[in-house]
Amino acid sequence: MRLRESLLSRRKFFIGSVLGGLSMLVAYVLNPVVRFLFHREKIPLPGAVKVAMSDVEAIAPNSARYFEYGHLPGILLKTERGELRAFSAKCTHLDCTVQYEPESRKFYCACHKGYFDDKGVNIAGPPPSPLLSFGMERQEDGMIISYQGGRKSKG
Amino acid sequence: MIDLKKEINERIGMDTILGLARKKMVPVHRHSVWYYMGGMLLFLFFIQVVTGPLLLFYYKPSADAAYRSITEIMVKIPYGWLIRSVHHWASNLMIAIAFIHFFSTFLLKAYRRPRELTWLTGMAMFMVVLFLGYSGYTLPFDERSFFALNVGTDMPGTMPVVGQYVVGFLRGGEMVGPQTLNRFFALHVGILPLCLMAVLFVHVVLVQVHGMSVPLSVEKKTALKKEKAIAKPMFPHLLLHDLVNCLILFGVLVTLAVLIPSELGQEIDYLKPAPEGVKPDWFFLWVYQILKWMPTYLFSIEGEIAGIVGLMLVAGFITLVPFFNRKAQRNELSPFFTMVGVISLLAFLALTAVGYFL
Amino acid sequence: MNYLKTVKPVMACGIFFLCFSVFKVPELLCQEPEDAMTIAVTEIKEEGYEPPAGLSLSDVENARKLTNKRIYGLAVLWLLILLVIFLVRIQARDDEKLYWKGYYSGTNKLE
Ligand code: FES
Repeated sequence: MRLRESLLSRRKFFIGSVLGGLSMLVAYVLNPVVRFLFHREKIPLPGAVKVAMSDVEAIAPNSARYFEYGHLPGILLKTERGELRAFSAKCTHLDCTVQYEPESRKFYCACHKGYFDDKGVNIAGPPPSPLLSFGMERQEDGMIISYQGGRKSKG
Repeated sequence: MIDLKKEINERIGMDTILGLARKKMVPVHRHSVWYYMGGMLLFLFFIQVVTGPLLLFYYKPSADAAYRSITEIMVKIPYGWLIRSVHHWASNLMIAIAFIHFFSTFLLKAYRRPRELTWLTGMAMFMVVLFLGYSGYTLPFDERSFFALNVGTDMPGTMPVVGQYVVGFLRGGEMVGPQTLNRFFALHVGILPLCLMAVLFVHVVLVQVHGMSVPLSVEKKTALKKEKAIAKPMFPHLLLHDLVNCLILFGVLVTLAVLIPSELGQEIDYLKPAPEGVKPDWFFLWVYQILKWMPTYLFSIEGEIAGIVGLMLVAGFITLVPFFNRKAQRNELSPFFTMVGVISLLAFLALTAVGYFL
Repeated sequence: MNYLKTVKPVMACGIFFLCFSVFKVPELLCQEPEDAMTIAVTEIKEEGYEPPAGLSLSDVENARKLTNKRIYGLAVLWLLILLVIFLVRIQARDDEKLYWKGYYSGTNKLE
């Protein structure tokens, strides 16, 4: 059956088309603005960093030192037995920087009281996964610490 | 189903607003064109309020980072060149239209009773807009900014008594240096826009309260013919008209920004001599030209001081014109003030042209 | 009076939390760093790595150049603007016609 009259009034049609056209224009104009706002700076991480042997030797057993891996904070742990381990110091919960607690031999995150053991495994508190650990390679004059050589636990 | 229209109406009283809107009538006559300037200015202000903060996402307001950050905006950030150019051109158009708005109001004596306050707020905004334009010019901290800063902050020094304090306030020290940039940044993105917004609010409210001013000549004519003046409701008729104006204006704005993107000069080198032909922005060219033509001594006063004091007197006179123009206050024609307006308009155009081309 | 009764506890809570935050936060933030917490490292650049070149004025000039893409973008913009103006004009004319006939279109109600 054919309708005798249109269900749409003339005015509604006009207003609708104006608003439609306008929103098309707005969308078109918004495009550059969004692209502008969502620009992301690309700061590449270094392929590897090197710690001088003399510095490594200076670390007391059962203590840790922070180091810069590009803009990422890293933490280098020397266990009581002299074993070296390097982790990203970013907590896997919400990205706070963790600290080493020699008394309990744990990494501790103050933000929400998260704990990781000295192998970087999350053992208490909210952190969902182990700390990202870096690859280590001993050379004559120092230790090479690299991101790629490490095991990825997150992302 | 929820009737969204009804729900919203219940909460913000759309009907009341619409009711008010339908009462607002705008007279229609041969001078109606000038009524559109305000709407266009409002639109450009909106553009500035949007593009300004966008630029702030990447601009670094410090003497050693500002120039580099502008370079990055122009080159690296997607559409950064466009956003910056639109901001630049919108400011220029805003000032140009503000001049038109100013002259048309002056010539049509729209400042007559009871609109003196509207005029005063308008003049205040005019000054703020000019200063906004100038301070924006200094933010890239390139060579041109540097000379603009030097000359611009030197001039108030010739004002009697307060001069030196104003200079010190603007420069943040004896001389233009890294600290000056931060002061101008604070003025440009913080203080001046806030002032402008506050006064703008008063201005717009006053315009709504008083309605549009009808030029005397038109009023007389309708009175003679004993017919009712034609008027249309602001909403939606004039608003749609405003919309069309703004759309065209927006097109022109973006076209200018794409065809002539805003420039970036050399990095500042404190030891380099001023390049040939440094001139202020076009909207200050008339001041520049007057000061250039001033003799070193005028009636045994230093030429620059005479020039600046003279300019301040003129500005004062124009600002207070509603109180000087007695005839217009009594709703009589005042050809003298029309003459003053026409002459200053011509002088402004001529001086700007001379400053630009010579 | 009732009003005050509800407000007072809320305010008390607010003040309590304010004090709490004032005394609590610095303690968290001000942990004295032990000495020598950090260790120096040297970055090893990957082969073929070049530091990104700084941007120069000629880059800016390049960025300002008119490209085909920009002209195209501008053309589309004008097309859309003209389209909207066209649509608005139709509606405005309709409004006008109604208005002179004695209808007011602003509230979308005929009267
Ligand atoms: S961020 Fe480390 S525990 Fe929440």
